[in-house]
Amino acid sequence: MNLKENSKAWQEGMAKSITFIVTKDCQLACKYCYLVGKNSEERMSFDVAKQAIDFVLSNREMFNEHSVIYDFIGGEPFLEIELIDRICDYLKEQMYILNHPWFNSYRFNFSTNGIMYNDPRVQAYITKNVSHLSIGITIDGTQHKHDMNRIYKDGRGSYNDVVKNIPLWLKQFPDSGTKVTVGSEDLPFIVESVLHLYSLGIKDVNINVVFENVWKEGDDTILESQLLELANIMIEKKLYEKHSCSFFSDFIGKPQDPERDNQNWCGAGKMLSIDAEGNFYPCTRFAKYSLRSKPPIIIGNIHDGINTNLLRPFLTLDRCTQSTEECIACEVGSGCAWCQGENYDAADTATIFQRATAICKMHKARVRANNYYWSRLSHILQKEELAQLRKERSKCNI
Amino acid sequence: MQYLIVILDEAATSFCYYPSPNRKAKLMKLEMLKEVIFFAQKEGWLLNFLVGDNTLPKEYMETIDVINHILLTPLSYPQDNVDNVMVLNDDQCRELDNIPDNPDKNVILRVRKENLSSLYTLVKSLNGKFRRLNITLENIDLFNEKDLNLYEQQLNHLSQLYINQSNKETPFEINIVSDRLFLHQMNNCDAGVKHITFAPNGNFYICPAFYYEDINNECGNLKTGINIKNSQLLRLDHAPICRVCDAYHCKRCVWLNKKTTFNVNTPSHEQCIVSHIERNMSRNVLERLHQNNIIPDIVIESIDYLDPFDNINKRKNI
Repeated sequence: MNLKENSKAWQEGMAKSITFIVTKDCQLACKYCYLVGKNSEERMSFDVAKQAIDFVLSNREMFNEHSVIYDFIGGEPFLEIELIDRICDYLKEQMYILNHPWFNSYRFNFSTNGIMYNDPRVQAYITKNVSHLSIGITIDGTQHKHDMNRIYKDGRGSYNDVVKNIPLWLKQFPDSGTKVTVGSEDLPFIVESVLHLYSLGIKDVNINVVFENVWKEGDDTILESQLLELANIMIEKKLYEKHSCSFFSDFIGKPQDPERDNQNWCGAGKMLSIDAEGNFYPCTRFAKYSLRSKPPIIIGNIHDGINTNLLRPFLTLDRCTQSTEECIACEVGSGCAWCQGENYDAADTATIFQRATAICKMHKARVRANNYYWSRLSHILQKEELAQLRKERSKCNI
Repeated sequence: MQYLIVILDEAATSFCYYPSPNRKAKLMKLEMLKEVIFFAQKEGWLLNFLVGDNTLPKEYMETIDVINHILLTPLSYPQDNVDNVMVLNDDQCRELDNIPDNPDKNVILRVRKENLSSLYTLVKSLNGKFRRLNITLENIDLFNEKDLNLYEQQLNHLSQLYINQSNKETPFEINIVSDRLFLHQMNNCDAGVKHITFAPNGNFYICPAFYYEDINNECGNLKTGINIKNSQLLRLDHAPICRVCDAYHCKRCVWLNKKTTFNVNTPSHEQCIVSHIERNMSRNVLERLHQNNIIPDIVIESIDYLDPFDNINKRKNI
């Protein structure tokens, strides 16, 4: 069957994720950005990073996964490329000296706005670490859609500064996908944006609607009609053979068993995020600069280590305990995602056990379009398979 | 809800895990007391009153006498009423000499981490002065490995004390040793589920600890009624660690949970270990009672963990 599957992250779900919040600064002021407390003051020092690394690498019992992904995020991480280069050198050196199992199984991972991608310092870093790198550039689609949200602090769109770097990026990382975020205002531009990204040479488009409560009456109808149109085009032009769009997935929209399908969606608590002050978080979304209305959840720091009591809620959290009765009984619940940080931020009390349901209607719209996509596509694929089979049989008969 | 705790005095001594308030004595206004009693009568609740050092004025006594109630009193409060529960702190046991023996008394003994090594001695000194002894450990969240070992040793001595008197006609109870022997299901504190607290400022709280920690923790008043946000998280079925646990006697203190893990439905490691040391000690007691031909109708299984969290994660990783 000729069908491109959605891309999977390296060692998905198996590797420890260690995130360095190297800066809270960014050139952009994207309208949908959940980082409400960005600033140019909080920048990680090498000393803090070093102490964090020493803590992590010397506690193998606590960090016992076979592989590791070192994430560098901001703000915009490439603003701190010299610091990151130093951190990575130290990591490699220490993993080697300590004969740490991660030395043979590590990745450096970046989500960047792409503006500095062609900067010589960034390119030198890429050349040095290319075999252990994953870099995702965020481009939201057409210039119109991209520049609606992804703007500089002075209001200018950033599309032109990003798109010029896409060819170089795809040359260096041909299998890379991009992350697209959709809010209420840019819903009508989904189809043209996904097709535009394919035309740029990007094969995997990981796209999602924001978890925050930004949705207006009728947005679900717009999303559904956009996705139905996209489904038709992907099928008619056979784009599914070489491209994927994460809106369409064959595991979403099914009922879920309260016991068998009770696992948590989110990996918060299994990750470790470190900020410029050397504080530890269960995920970056629990750092102060990510939260609108709740205090940060600091689970430790580079001096005192981790308070494991604070990880217990994260590591025992399951789907049903945090969900409403309606969500548990939902006939199309599978694939309805949540962000633990947004759940916490939006909850009525300071708990991670209350699931935010702002995307409910949007998920249901996605499920309807997704069902249509797979219904149509599987029919075509079955026919093709049958035709192929007949062809092979007829060859045998000759 | 089944009952209401009323903090009659701002300086009422703590009877539970939270520290005793360092506040000036100040009684709830009489009018407010009448209103809350009326509220409780309409709900069909029983009442527990927390009082301070001073005897309640006559008009207060007359007011509370219209409803079924229990007073939780500090040692300094006149101990002439056998139905009152006496709350003792671990530094007050020497003062007990002045109190006559009372084999029907219900006593709460609060023991600090610093006095763990005296636990058995303290209980022995109370011999004859109680029928039921509720031992509450303060600052469990600060217990370290050494404290937990010490606690296990002390519990061992207490178990022997309990077994020695178990064939008497009216044996006494020590909660941390004997409660588990009679439980077939969870019997937790259930603050916010089975009971609620009314404070002198006229607001409801999940329990007194939430009031003394921060008066802004309120969950309603006499006019608006009770509204506990995310109240489902106080229930056992919404506590992932506790709902698979069989330390049935554990208080499952939601205030301690909140304090130690930031979530009311998740206990700390230390809380779980303490409860399982008690559970396993009860299991030993059960075996010994069987040898003495005293057979409570209960089975306590052998388990290979002290913290159910480890067990949950082990299962997840299989």
